[in-house]
Amino acid sequence: MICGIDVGSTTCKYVLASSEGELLAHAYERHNTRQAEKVLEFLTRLEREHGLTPGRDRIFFTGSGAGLIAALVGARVVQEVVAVAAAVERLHPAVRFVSEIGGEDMKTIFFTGDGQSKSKQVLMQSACSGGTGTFIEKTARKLQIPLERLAEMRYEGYPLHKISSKCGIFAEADANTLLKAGVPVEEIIASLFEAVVYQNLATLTRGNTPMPEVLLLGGPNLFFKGLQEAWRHHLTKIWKERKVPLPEDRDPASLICVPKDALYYAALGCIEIARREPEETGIYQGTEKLRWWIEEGQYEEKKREGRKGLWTTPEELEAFARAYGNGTNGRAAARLALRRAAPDLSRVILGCDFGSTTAKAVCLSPEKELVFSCYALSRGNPIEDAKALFRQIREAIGEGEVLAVGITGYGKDLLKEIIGADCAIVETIAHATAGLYFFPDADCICDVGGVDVKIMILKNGTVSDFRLNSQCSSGNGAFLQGVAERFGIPLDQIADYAFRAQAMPQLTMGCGVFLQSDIVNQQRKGWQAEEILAGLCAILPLNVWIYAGGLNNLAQIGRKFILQGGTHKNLAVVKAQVDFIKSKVPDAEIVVHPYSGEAGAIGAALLAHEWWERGGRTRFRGFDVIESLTYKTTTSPDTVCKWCPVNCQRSFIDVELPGGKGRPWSKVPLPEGWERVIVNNSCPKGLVEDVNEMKVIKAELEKTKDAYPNIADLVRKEGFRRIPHAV
Amino acid sequence: MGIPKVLNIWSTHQFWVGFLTALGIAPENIVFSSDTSEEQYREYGKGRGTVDCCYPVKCMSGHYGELIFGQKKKIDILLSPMIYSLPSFLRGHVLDTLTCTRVMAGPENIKAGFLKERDVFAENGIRYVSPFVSLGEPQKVPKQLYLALKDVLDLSEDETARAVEAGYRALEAFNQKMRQKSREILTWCARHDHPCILVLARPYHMDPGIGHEIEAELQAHGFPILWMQYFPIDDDLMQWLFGEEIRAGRIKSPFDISDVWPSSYSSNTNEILWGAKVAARFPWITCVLRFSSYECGMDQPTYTPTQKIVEASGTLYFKFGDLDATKPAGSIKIRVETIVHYVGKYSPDIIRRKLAALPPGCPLLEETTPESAPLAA
Amino acid sequence: METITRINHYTAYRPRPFTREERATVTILFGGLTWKHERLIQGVMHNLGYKAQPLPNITRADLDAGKELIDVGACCPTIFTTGNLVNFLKSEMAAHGRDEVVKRYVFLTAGACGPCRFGQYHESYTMALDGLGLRDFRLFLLAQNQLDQGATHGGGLEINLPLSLGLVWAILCADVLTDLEYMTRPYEVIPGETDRVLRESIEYLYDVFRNRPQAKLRGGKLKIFAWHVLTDYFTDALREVRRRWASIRVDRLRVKPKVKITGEFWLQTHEGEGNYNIKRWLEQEGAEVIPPPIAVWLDYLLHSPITSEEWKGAERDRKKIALIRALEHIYHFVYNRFRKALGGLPYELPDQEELKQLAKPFYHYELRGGEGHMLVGKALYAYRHKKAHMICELSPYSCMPNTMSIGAMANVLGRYPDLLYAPIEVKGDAEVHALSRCQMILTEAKRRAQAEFEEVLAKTGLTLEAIRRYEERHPEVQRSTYRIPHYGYAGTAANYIIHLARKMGRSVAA
Repeated sequence: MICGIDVGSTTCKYVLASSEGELLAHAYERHNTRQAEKVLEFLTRLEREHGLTPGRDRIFFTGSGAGLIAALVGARVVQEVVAVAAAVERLHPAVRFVSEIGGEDMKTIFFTGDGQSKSKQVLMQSACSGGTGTFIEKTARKLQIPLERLAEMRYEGYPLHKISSKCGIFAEADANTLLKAGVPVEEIIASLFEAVVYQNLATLTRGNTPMPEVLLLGGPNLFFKGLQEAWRHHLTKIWKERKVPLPEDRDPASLICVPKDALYYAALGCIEIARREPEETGIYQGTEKLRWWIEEGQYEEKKREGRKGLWTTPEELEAFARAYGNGTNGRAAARLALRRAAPDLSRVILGCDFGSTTAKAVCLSPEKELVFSCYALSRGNPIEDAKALFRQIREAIGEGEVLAVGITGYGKDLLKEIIGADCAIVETIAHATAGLYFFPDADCICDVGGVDVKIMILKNGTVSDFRLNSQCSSGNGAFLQGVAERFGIPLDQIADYAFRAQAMPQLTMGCGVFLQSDIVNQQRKGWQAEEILAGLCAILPLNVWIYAGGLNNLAQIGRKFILQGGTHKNLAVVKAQVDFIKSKVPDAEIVVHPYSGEAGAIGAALLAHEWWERGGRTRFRGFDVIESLTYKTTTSPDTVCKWCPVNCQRSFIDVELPGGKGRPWSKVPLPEGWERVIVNNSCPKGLVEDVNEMKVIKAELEKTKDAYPNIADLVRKEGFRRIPHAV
Repeated sequence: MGIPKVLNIWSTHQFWVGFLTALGIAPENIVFSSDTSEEQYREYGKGRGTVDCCYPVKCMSGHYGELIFGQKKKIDILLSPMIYSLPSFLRGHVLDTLTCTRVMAGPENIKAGFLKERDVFAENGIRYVSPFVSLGEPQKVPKQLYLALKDVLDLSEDETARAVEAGYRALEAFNQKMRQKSREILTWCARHDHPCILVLARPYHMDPGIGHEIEAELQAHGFPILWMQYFPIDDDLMQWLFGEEIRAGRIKSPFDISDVWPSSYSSNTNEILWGAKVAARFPWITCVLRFSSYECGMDQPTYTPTQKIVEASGTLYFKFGDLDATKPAGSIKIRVETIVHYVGKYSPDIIRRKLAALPPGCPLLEETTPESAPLAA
Repeated sequence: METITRINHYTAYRPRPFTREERATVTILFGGLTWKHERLIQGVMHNLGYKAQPLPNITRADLDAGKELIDVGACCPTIFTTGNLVNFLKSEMAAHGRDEVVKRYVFLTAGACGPCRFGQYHESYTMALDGLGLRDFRLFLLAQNQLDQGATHGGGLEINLPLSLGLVWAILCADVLTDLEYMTRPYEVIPGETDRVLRESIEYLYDVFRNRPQAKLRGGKLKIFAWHVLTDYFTDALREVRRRWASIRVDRLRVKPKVKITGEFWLQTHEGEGNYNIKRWLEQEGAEVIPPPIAVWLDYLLHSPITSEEWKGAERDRKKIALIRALEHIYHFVYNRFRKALGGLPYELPDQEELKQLAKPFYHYELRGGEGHMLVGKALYAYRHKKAHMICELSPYSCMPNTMSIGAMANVLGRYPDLLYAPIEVKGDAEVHALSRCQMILTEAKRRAQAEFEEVLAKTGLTLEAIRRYEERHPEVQRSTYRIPHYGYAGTAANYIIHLARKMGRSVAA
């Protein structure tokens, strides 16, 4: 008998065949990161139920996790694409192009020539999550679409929106934005399929044309109908454009085939290759060594490679817990100017922070005391979030007077007019203001949120420098969370798991996506979920400070560091941060911001306070108006921005407001008594609805640009002028 | 004659226009591809890239494709020079003025995608010409261009030499004009004590698809934008900024960057370092924007030095790194708002401090020329 | 007067001079090649009275240390080599204290070659030194394209002819020995034999370089040069190496694909974790590796001025070209003498002019940076002359020139679809991906090696039994130093069978 086993990043598969190649058994199961254990289970079953016999039968492995396990059972390893290609060559001789999309990788195989001179070119992607199964599932999970439904969702016939095809984390953010703008999930998912196919074609063709016939392999291609449709759409389009001759008797779409047993192709290929190799190769040696490795060997191996866990002695961990554990947060060190007891809510300054996941609000007294705070989970519609928030504030302050309103966060521009806020403050400044208020002697504020990493370096009470990572997902909390989710570990338990690890793998600092492949690597070596999480927490400071922040020399920054942002609620991360910073700055003082989550709102309130003190009189519309806000959202071809080729898919949020001027001239007309807020535009031009409005704004912009020229404008205009020059 | 508007064409444009016009090619027959855009890449370049690399090089396949497939009037010749070195104003003060190794070799890489399966150029009746040209060494250029183009354009050696001269003149005239304009802007800033922003970037970051017009968002907030490529290099200004250091023997000339960058081989890198030195000194430049494309290996070693140079005088420094095909609009917005806040808040102080560090007698304030009242472009 | 100090900004790193007096107490650190090259170079340095020591082997830990201290986005050789120095200095500081390290060591490296980042290495090293608080540690860069730079840097290191020639000779010797190593190990009958003899041979050659006769290193340049070129001193030593090597028994009937390594200079030369130990890995996977000699790179450096000087064509330049051509001849003469001393076993140097011509339609020879057109040229050279079944190109992640020539290779592959080419991008930390990619192409190469082997068996009508019987009667053919000529097959086994068939008197067309 010959056995082919495929150990993938999320699942294991086996195929058992007779020496003549006749199929006897097969299976496909998830391994939940316990690859070796799953293989052992498979082999035990195969021995018991099908008579797989050590010393007689042959066994071949493939898949990203095969390397280590194979050696333990005497198996030969076949590279997965080699295996897949072997299966394809045998089963589908007419195929010229294969796309295999896996959980964490994607590959294409191009076949050229025929018979003896048939050659193949393989292209694999290993650098990022864009275009892989995880990419789709991650976003679908965020949209709360169950896998069963996702599998049935379609591509054809939906308007498409722009979703980043490069990075799973950004795609998720894009999908979120679309959702908030009221785009139906069907359209978002169709756009996601579009992004996947685009990414595959853009990065994995390298100048080759995918010729018919085409085979689509791997889980995502098999399971997601919409993805198949997207492939058919694009490939037939390419064939038409490039004038690829097609057989006349066949519908072009039928040249793209998705075999039902696609999941087993790699394992089948193993059998295929085994039959070609000399008979003494890959003789099965039984499970003894594998068993030993699972029970003992892996730990020895890991000990050799890894480093200690996040702590060395229980005493050290206790001391840390005393300083930073629940409720302490290193607050002992903070000199707080706040008082919560017996709050006087008769006159307050409001600060609101409309973030991507939560909306927060605080009330300050005229003496800058924090008298109230609340938050609302974002449900994807900023106006609803605002209502929820203001309802709570109203309940707390009752008849109290609102003196000023400051607002920050992603929702600030959208909501400023609607709630009548006095100051709209960019998040960075809000955070810095709050940090400096509590810790006037702070040298650095390090804010690690879900998506952003912000580092603000303070000198003499002002921000001298700040670093933002928002173009790169490494070092942020979302990545940590994403890994935990894949392990099935709830967000609030990451720290518990991480502290449980006695040792952890040495991960490499860098882009989150490279880390992802490093994790696969570590799993292959047998590291467990909690150990990998510990390793991730340990590497996070490096990603934050060095990779995202570009700060190599922490000692130059100073000695007092403030940690804030949601990710620092995770004590394992805090421990890693403290250890890291102290290793660079031995006398560092590190404090977790006591109102870490509300820092943005407090900053907004403080700046609003400053404005009020200078004599500002609030434009706040009042709780009644906000509570009774009526609005409708439109996202349609009519709302697409046409000002530049980017064609942002904007949304119009129309809010009923006393005194609203309406937009009778609009393609999406708006009567008087309503105001329109335009969102999802990516530049100031997009705030303008169409030509009529543009005229005014354009004149305004041009006036500014004329008054304040940009040399690049001149170069763009004159550099390529083709007037004859005097020779 | 189609020319892909990419890479160092962004600083040698007028050379090519002048050169080709002088060869008798009608101006309307010189076609540049349009600005880089994702759409252009998707439509014309998709699947033609042979390797994953930085976007400024990768996007070239879109430009090639647009010139081949997207022109109303078909082009006959696609001219994509391999520019080995550049005519920089720093030449003579630095070791060399070479281009980035990817920039010079880009055409060899991109053409592969159009030749790999079938000869797409030939199929479309286009001659592909890619002269290797050391624009930094004008004496070599006539022969290089003559050898590369003689079969395509039926040239004589003399004719080529004359056209090359015309090209250099056109380019020089253009550079002069830009520097003059920059000087006007600086003068206005000096007289109104108004802050302005200097961009440190490679020339192709002026391409809206590469640099994403980030600087324009700050311009819209009322800050004039200068690019160090076209900073005025007039002697009076240079003496004011660098004179004391030259006399003290720290540097040999205003364009000597050996104090900060000894391995001064790369033209654009040298200019960026020089730009950083200027920014550190010039009072009304209160903020520097640094643009850098994803995976730029030329920029990478310069990150820390430029920042340290600029910040030494308290000048604000903001880096937009890892620029790629997509405009990261959200993040740009946050950063622009933050920058505007700080530039507004700190500029007066920065100007004051930097003025104090320079000798009195700023030439821009002493000029007798009438001030250009509204700063019209 | 001191107004200029008012703007005091970052300045480039300037090491304080390394003086002649310090020679006795200061150790020169160097690295970046293989342990064999480094050991022989150490011999040259000791011979000239310097204290010199190569840095320890590169490890994965160096990658992390490097990333931590230099600007984000550096290429992997930069990170590895910087990290390597950092880790060494750290451990020395821990043992002897900061000041002692500053006093005790200087670091010497090649660099400053021009357009690519390699020429900007100094910046990374400087940042690393800053990060370690070792700004006063001394680090010197040598331009690699100048043989004789005269006394520099305070005279501590005198870059003169005895040193330059010693270094080149050491590199060439290590190169030919490396060729020998890689062509023997995959076939050795007793595992470990090759490595043992290799270690002994390198130690023996170290002594040879260390004991270069002082009398021959003095006097006029021409005299020193002539001695190096003409003496039997080095060739005798290599003949001794060959004698030792002859004790290794090999089995050349093992069918193995030949994999030629090309790529970025540091990465292809390196033997260690910096490139996932890929050469050893390939051997484990059943391949025979053709290592890239540094000699080819030196040849390229020597040759390239000719192409740029040709433009001028003045009398003076023609003389210069003639001089370079003469030097090239001498260079090849020396290399070939070394090869001959080792029984003609090491591979010959490819003709630079041919590489240029082969690459011409795909990559312009004046495009400098990295290995320039050579990547394309070498691949086609191996393909055309059937020197290898497959090309494995090692390309550092984010290396600038490399990506360009890999792109150009797409065009080559379009024209020669049966050329097996595996460009491997090395990041230092994504081992699985890189190696699987290589394995994929290797599978095809194995198939070709096997097919070729079977073809040869059929053609000669020989059976394995017949060959084994012949080997028993003629044990000399199993000696590792027994030279098998190239009969137009890429594989060692195939050429071996043709050779034996001819020896047995069968008429076999090559």
